[in-house]
Amino acid sequence: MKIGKLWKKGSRILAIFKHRFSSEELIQIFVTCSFPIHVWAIPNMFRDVPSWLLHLTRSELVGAVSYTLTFMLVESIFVFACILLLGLLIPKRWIGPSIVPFCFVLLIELSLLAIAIQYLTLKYVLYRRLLVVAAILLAIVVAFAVSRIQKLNNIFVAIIKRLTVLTFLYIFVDIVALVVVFTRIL
Amino acid sequence: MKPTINRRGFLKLASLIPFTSPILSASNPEFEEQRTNADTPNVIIIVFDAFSAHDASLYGFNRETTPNLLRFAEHATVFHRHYSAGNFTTPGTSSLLTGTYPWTHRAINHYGTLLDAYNDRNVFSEFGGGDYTRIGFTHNFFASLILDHLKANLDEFILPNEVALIDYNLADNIFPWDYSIASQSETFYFKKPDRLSDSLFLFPILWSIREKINNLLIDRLEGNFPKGIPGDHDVLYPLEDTIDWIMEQLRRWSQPFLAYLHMMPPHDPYRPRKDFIDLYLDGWQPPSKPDHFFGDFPNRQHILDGHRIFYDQFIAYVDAEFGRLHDYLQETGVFDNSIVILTSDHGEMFERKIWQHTTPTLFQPIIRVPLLISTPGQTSRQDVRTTTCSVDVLPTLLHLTKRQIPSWVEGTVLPPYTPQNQPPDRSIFAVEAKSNPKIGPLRKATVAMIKGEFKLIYYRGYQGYDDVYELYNLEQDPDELENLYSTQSSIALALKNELLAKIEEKDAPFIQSDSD
Repeated sequence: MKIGKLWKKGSRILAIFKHRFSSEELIQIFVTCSFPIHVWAIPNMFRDVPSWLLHLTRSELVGAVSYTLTFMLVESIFVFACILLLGLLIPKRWIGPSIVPFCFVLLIELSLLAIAIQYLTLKYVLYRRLLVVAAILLAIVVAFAVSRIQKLNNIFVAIIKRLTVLTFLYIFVDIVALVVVFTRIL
Repeated sequence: MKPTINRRGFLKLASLIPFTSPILSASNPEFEEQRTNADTPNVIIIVFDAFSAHDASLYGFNRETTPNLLRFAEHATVFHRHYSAGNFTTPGTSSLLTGTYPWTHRAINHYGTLLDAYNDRNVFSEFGGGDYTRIGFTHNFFASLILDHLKANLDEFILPNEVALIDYNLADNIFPWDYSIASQSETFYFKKPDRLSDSLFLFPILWSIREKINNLLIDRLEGNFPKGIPGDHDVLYPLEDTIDWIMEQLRRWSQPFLAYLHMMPPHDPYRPRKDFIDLYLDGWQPPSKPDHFFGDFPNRQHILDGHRIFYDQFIAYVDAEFGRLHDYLQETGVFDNSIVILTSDHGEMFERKIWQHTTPTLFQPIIRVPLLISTPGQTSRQDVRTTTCSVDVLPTLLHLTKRQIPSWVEGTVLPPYTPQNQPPDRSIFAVEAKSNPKIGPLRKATVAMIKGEFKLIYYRGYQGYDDVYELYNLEQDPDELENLYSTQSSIALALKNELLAKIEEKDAPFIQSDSD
């Protein structure tokens, strides 16, 4: 009963976005959000696994990996929600049909910015601000380019379509991990 | 009418006296309390993390860092050659709690925990049986992983968020039932200190929010902590709050209790209160020591000297707060019915191009830690100069509370509390093996053996430094400046043989499991 109500509420919320995005676009945006998060986090996680192997049992190791994958899923949903919110706030005519390629480029760019922040500027506030300003300027330029150059637009859409299968594999593993986490804490 | 009693009547009444005694005593609550206190004193173990005995004026350091420890020492036993069995929190804390060496309990890795067998072989399990309320509290994340594994034997397991000004950890709040694994994954995902985080977007966002909140909190505390509020990456806790909290809990905990209270200061980052930050700008320089092959600090010694000033200021702050607690314990009479222990899990180092304690080395500043024990009603100071180790604390507590010492304990009862003195040639050990698998023989490790005046350090399995030994005479050369390994070959050989035999003995169960 409760699940049914939640589903209805969720559908209502999604309906708000459906005026702005098609179902296919929603999936593609989620793929766009999820892909860089996983591509960054999974190799990083595997870098930690040897140190975990030193002291964790097999079941503890499965638990540790499951939590990490669950955090990836949560982060993907968080970024997806932020992008959707941004999509609602920006007038539709500004971006038009180029929303998916725009998101893709924006997220790749944000990813590079986040990596740069991690590498270089955690402790130097001045440089971090400069980077953020530079990223915003670049985002405006890229948004303009993507919305005006159809060929560029098509290239990005083609890339996202190819990434969909791989990303859904990630999501499937994340959901399995979420089940493992629930099993551990319940 | 004059009461009369004949001889037979007198004897009948006298024979009833043994039966009436318990009834009388049970009906007198004051007596009951006194009896209980005498048999079962409270036990308070206070651990200040990363507190090197080398920077405590109590032990002869030339900066006046610990005047309040000196006050405590006036009615306590002071151990001058006390060593932690490990050089960072995980092994150091585990040895203190289990009375066994790291090569036995195997909490040797970063984020490591004890072998399952020690979940029921530790200070809390030994004080089980219903008469003691057992409390475990720590600020330290690594120590909280150890306590989490022992929580079945704890009546209260208090996570850092209980006393923190702010706690950024998710696991404390969302996954307390699966704290150990959840918190490790969380740490790796969101906030690896000084390393790339797994989280691409949330990490920079959360980090920025955290910086803003921290700055607000510093402002709120009216500039009392200009270098930042004491804490680590995830939890902030002015020591004042923790000491106040302890005082409050001491009134609440039902007696008798065993309380393990592990506080993070003076561990890095060194953030003393503002009234301590002008101390020790005295230009003093420690004796010059040669660089060590594991030294990786990029700057010159004077930078390390600067860090040491901050560390000493932080110790002075810790000492002042301990002084407050000391006064409270004295005023409320807690010292009269409690065993109070003050010690540390490991030390800290500022020499040989080594900073702090995350190093494969086992030099004196890293493993020599304070130990002070005050027994109920003790009124005078006693000094013990025998070599002792953190593994000795558990058997000593069991001895003082008239409990049986189990056979798996590797330490012995400390010298002043047992009628027979320890053998003068007793060897004690410190083990560093954070890169070695938990289950497996020691293939990459550093082991120090201290026996009499000599200390042998053995480096095994490090690339370029396999089977390397250092030998020091601590009596003649307390700063460990002259490696005697090649010049005192007969002593070196005897110590080496003993150490290797001990390692072989301790490795045996793991070689068996390795081959299985």
